[in-house]
Amino acid sequence: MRNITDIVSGLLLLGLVLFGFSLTTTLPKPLPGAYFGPASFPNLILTLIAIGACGLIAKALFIRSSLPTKIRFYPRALCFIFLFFGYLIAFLSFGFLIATVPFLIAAQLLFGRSNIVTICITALVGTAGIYAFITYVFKVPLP
Amino acid sequence: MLEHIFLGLGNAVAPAAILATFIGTAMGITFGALPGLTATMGIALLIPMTFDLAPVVAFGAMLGIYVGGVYGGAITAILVSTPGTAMAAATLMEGPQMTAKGESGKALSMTTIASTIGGLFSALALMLVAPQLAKIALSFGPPEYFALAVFGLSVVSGISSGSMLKGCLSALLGLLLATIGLDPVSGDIRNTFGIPALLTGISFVPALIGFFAVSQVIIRLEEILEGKDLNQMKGAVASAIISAKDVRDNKVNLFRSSAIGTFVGIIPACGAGIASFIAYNKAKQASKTPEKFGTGHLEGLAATESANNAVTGGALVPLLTLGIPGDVVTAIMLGGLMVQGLTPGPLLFTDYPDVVYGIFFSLIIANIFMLILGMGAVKLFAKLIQIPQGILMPIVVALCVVGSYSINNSEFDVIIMATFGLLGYLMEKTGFPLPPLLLALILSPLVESNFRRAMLMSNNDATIFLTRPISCIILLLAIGMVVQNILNERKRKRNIAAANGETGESHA
Repeated sequence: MRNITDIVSGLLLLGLVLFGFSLTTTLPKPLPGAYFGPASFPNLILTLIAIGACGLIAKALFIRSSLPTKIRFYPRALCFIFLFFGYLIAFLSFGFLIATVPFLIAAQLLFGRSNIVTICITALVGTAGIYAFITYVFKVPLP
Repeated sequence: MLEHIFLGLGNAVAPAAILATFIGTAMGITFGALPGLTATMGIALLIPMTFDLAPVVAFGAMLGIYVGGVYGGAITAILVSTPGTAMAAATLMEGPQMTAKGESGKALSMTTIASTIGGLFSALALMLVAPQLAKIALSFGPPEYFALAVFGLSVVSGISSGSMLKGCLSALLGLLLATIGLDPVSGDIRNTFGIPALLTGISFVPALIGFFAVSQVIIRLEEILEGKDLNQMKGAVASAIISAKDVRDNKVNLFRSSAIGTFVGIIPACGAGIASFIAYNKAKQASKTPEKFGTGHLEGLAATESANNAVTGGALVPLLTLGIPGDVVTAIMLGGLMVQGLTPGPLLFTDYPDVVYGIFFSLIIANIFMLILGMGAVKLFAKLIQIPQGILMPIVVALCVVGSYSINNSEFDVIIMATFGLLGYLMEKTGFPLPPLLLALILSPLVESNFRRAMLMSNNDATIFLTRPISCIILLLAIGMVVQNILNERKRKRNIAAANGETGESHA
């Protein structure tokens, strides 16, 4: 079985290397008397990543693996990621209290909890607890 | 000297420090015991809340989590047959068997006593060794620091579980990400994409919160979807505890294992897991009843638990004296120190001796609290194991968001946290280990700036790294460590292949 994941990872890393080199070409040259400038270290790392990525692709192409070689993504986990980013937008736009209660309710449902009453109570108590802890104990103002 | 010791003691026993260490230890035991939560995650979540605290108070809380986390992992290993942390893997060899025999109370009390002895032994070793090593390190210049940073990076070969190539690529990504911001020598702006918030580089704490907390929550959700339920406790905790005779019978074993743990802890990348397996093996070799090992034997448990907690003090030696973290937890603690405006290294011992001795005493106090909590509240911690993950994990995410925001009241830090959370999740899914990236992110400025300074010092003569004896020795040690880890990896793969072959034959 060819390891598709490693091939894709290697190709993505090579893409990153190209993007990186396009950025480092704009950096200033080394100071007079110095061999190494601001671009030297990033260029060295990018070269090493390129070598490593080629090694990863070659290994995936020529060494067959007995292990599962495709990643399995769970729809519920992907939903959680979208929920998380939605929570961030709501947190930054509307503030902690308004964003956190619905997030905790939805996240608990995604984690498989089903009793809606305890879910709502947990969400309210959890939000109030974190808010009190951060704003009163640590004196950090939340949005 | 004596004055600094007393000042440090005063800092460590101040009411705020005592309270922080106590809360940290309790939090550490909870995080260690709960499958899905780790001491690493606990410290990452704690750091944003330590900004306004005095350094010893903040570090006392972090040490409490570290010490408590190592100990707490064993509670789950003994009661649920699943190590709460990777550090407690060796506990599985005796702990669950003792629970099966109805001796969980004895197992937990021996774990508590052994962990305390191991922790206190390593704290004393830290107090004796660290100041001497710091004195030597004061004479270090850029070539030595470059060599040390390379040695720190060589650790990557040891913590790249699974694939060394992917571990190295992960470290290279960390080195690359660390180049964002100002050039450490010339001050030129590099790779900031015109974002002013990136001028000072990637914010370390939000990045590690995303990396080690958010990504782990998503992975935990997937584990639950796969049907893994790590919260099932088999029976209640038995009341019977160990006797004074049990401790006396094991005193040589406890001190030997503590010494092994401390020594292994000083060596970067080895970690508590390895220390406890070595100590277990030594205890078995020295035992009068080696045949009982693996059947729920107190001697084996005493060895593993004293060794893995002894690693805590040992691991702080390179962190505090050289500024080189040996593993992920100490790497995060390094971030915690930097947040306080302190730079770990030999100058810490000359500029802030009261803080250093305060840290030493806080480690001792954390171990004493671990003993008190372990003996007094172990049944409560056993109950905590059963808190549904569906409640815990969403709250952890909310804490991640709040924690990353509260560092600088910065919306950009929240975005960094989320980006690293997603990156960490994708890396885990594709088999790239996370610790090398974090280690490289920390060590990258040390590597680059000291290399370029050393080259300027020597008029671009690279032999400066080999002609200075300390730098040459450290570089040779780094090469030795990489070679050793490559050989170990090959041996591990051969063993796996042999085991697979045997399984195949037996199936045939």
